Amino acid sequence: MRALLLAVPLLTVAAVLQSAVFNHVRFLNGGFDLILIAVVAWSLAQHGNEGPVWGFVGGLFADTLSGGPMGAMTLGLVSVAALIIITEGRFYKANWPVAMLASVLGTLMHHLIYLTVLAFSGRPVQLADQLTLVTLPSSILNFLLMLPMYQSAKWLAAQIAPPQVEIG
Amino acid sequence: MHRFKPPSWLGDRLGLAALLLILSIGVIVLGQRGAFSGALLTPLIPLQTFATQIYNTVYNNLFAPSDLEELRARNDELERQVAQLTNENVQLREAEAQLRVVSALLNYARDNPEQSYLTADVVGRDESLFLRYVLLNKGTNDGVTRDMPVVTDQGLVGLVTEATANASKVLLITDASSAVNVRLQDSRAEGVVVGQESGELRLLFISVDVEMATGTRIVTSGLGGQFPQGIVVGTVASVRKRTFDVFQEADVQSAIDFNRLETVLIITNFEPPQLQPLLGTATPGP
Repeated sequence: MRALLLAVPLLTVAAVLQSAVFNHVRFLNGGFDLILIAVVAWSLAQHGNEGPVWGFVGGLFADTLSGGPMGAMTLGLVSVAALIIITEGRFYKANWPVAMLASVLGTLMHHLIYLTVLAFSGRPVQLADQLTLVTLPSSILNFLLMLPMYQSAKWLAAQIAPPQVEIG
Repeated sequence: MHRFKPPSWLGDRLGLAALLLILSIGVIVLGQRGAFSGALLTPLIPLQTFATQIYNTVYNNLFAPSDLEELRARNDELERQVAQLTNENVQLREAEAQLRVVSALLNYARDNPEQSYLTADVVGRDESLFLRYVLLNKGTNDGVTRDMPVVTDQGLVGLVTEATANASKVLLITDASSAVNVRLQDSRAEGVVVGQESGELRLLFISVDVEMATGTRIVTSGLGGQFPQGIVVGTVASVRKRTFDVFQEADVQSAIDFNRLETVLIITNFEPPQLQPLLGTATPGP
């Protein structure tokens, strides 16, 4: 429930900002993906299982403001968040270098899943072109966006659930 | 014997992740039937409009000095008039070219009703980097329906693909899935302008026999009934022609800056011809 209370307002703002402001910023054909980076950052910073909930909520907003098939971005974001929460704490500990790497790999995974759904829905998809023209420059931008986003997510996570300390 | 037992937190995370993945696939399936989108879009549009207004205000103030406000307004007015006159000029040339091609009788008899327009503001761009749609702040409450053409005074923008009560989504002609039947204004040769992944436009299916020079104006042909004929799509920017090919290709330059679209016109009285019944017409017997 807490995940939803936090995710709905924050991701609503993120979706609106992405559509109204961030999509004006283009590097080659790539762009920032505010929602993806927010979901990845929260999945890493929260150390719990709220990431996929954020992915689901953020994906629904993103799909609503897109002309693509409903659910395509939702599936991509939930998948990325699910992979993070299943592996984080087991194979690695979240820290900022991991977050930076996750921004690049997350972009790649999200775009691959999204393009797969697009292809299944009958749209023309030229994978090599799309990955070169869109995914590669987007990875660079998302890489840059991740550092402030991860620090913000860590701060927010600490405010909500401060780390427990043993007294005495 | 020692058996691997996954920690309980992993079980919880796997369960939640699996549930949400299944839900996501459910959303895709339901989304194909048009569920969700309208209900979610309606409350988002006011926020979207507000954010866009803020963005446009900040952008305009950053890139245009405020003490030149009056001059800028005057310049905007003059630019609007120039664009209007240019558009009228193009339409007159199009009419003239048509007159040369078709017999005078047919031309005089042609019913060419005035188009009616609805002004709409662009309040958002597609969340996906792979798609080229824009969101407009007019929907079914204003009379907007699916398949209505969208233009500016500089030419064709796209087609309404979805309309909710207070918003609509427009597929831009630069999207990779867009294809517009066109003709060259000078030679009357017909082809198709398609969008590219890079957001550019390409003209296809023009015979190599046709002379196509840089700067040739391209207008909609009306074939297929998707768009009214005579709307400017762009001009030929460069031609790729090989003598052993059947068709030549050209890069097309639209006068519209699709990244800076702010206001568009929706053609509300265009009714696409019902071609579907004709497609099933049986072959005449001997």
